[in-house]
Amino acid sequence: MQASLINKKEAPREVEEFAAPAPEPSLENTIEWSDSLIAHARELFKHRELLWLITQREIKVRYKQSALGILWAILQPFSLMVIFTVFFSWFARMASDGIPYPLFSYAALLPWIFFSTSLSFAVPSLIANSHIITKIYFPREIVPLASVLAAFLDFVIAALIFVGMLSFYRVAPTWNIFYVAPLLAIQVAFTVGVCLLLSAFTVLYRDVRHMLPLAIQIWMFVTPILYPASVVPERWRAWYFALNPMAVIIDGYRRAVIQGTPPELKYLALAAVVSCLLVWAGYRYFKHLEREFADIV
Amino acid sequence: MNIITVDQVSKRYRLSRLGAKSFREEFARWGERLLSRQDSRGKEEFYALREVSFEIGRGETVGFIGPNGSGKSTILKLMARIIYPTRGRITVRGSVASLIEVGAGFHPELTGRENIFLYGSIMGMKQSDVRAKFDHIVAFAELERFIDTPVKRYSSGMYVRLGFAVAAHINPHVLLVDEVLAVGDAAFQSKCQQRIEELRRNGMTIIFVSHDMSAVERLCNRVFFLSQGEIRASGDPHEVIGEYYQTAVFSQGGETGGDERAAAGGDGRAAEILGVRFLDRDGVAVDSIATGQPMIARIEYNAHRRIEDPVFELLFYSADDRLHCQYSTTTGSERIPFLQGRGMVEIECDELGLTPGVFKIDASLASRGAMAAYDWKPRQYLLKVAPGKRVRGLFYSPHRWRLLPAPEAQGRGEIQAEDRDYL
Repeated sequence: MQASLINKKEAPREVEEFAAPAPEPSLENTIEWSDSLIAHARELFKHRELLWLITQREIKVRYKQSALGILWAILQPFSLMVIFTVFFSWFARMASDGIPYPLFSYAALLPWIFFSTSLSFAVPSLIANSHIITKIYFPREIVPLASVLAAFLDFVIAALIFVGMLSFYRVAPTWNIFYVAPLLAIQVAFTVGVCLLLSAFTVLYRDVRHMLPLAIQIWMFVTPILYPASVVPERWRAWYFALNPMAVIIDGYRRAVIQGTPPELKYLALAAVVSCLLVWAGYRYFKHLEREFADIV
Repeated sequence: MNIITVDQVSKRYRLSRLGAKSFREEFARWGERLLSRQDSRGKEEFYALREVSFEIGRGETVGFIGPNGSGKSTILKLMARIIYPTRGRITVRGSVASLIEVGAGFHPELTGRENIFLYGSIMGMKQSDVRAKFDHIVAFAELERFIDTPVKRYSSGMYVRLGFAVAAHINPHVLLVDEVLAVGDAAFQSKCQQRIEELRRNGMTIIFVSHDMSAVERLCNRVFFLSQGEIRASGDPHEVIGEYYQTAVFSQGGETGGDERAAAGGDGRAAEILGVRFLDRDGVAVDSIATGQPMIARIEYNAHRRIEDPVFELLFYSADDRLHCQYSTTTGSERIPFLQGRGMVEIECDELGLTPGVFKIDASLASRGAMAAYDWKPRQYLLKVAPGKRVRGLFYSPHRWRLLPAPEAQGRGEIQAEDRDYL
């Protein structure tokens, strides 16, 4: 009683704001380490604002103090497209299934850069944010997920250019363009799965960080970006698509958007299954290792 | 109702697993284990906490004290869910905000404004809440002019002010605070402490780790004293803090002495100090005296030649090497004309003003006005001060209280008399 009287006299303004007693603790908020993925997902959902803020931070930080700012999101795929067109189409006469090569390569570069940017930011993200991880609790998966989300926003911006290119080359969309939605969903799931798995693994083994640029480069060459999937000999194509979901996805985008045909549905279904398993396994593994992050990072 | 339950919690660190590894190291270890056919990990274990159990009720303010490495911060991080217990169970009902390091969530490239939203969100605040409290936060941090400047341009003081301001405006069920009260300038520090006191009065459960015993004693209703990962004592702040001081171990001991002594030139050739002893009121030699009790200190000397106009001095240093008190023959009117041969001087103090703790003592003997001492024994003696009179603050000042008659009548009378003079 006495304490509250003194308090009112000293700082009336502050008291007004905090006059409400501390909120009633409920069991809902009870902190316990859980093994249930559903509980984890629910907690992640509760922190969705934080995910969005950290994504904003990634984007702001990436483009702050750079003269071109967000234009870089477009410049990267666009300049690669120009270089590829000059060297692979004009000089090396690379086949492109009859599609104008700039369109052909940009359609593949867009999703590929989304994937590779996600990886290269998400994988070292936990180490880069060690100062927060060792000081404050929040669902740690937010950190790599924010990297994926930031890369996705770049992807959306760069896709606007693609729409312009489509009308420039007078490509009329067919109903098959709606395959873009499942393709994108599968790609996001696959990316998230890989990023969760590798980002957690990087906390344990820093080697992953050094291997990553090489791995991304190799992966790019085994994915139909510079060349059409049709150049892969028929008898290997089954393995080619089965082992590399990114190949199915990128080939699928080209078919759905430019050629107006459906993607390789058999392999797409496989890629979908693989992606879902990867998300599940990646999330589990991530949450399992999460307990040790602050001790190791 | 308990808001926090910590049940038989241990936290073990494997020294070999501290930090990330490279594949090469890991292969090397596998190889080693295959060859020696034994698991070498067991030997490199270190327990930061061992079977710790306690419960904290709603609205309590609890302090954790103890020497560095005693596990205080570990227990805080466990409750904050930053780290995971090796064994045992921790239950925290309600939301938790931790102030383990002020401003740890800031991004240097972002402005103060952007960082307030980001940090608030990391601490578990809703964006709408941050928006509602934004002006209060900025005003508290006193950063109105710089709020749209990237925080990398902030001074360290501004950085810390912003961090605390955000944290002080979250309204969690449990607030965990680690040593962050020792930040900023004195004015801001007192503002922080005031804020914590306000939150406490509003029923927030606050747990904090600190080396600032006066703050712990003032703010907490219960204190845990940790040592080597175990709870050594818990309960009433005054008593537990006293116990902590009693067992405080000095890392330095008398080692600092050599150099300083040479610099001061006290070689003890002309005259030397043989020892310092402390006695209680009955004249019995003791090594511990309680706050507010009478103290007698005797300095034994040996003057090899005649020393004119000597000055004796005793300096009391706290565990963190701060000078707390000086007894010198120059402060009083006493004067010793000269010394010759062996002898003793005595200091008599009616009520010891030092607060509980262990004090390292310098004793010196010099001539009045001389630059160099004849002898100087830096940090050579110890006195333990036990909890006695219950006092708050840095020292106890002997004093008396008196009840006076109501002043009104007296005062009014005088003024009337003066008024009449003017008229």
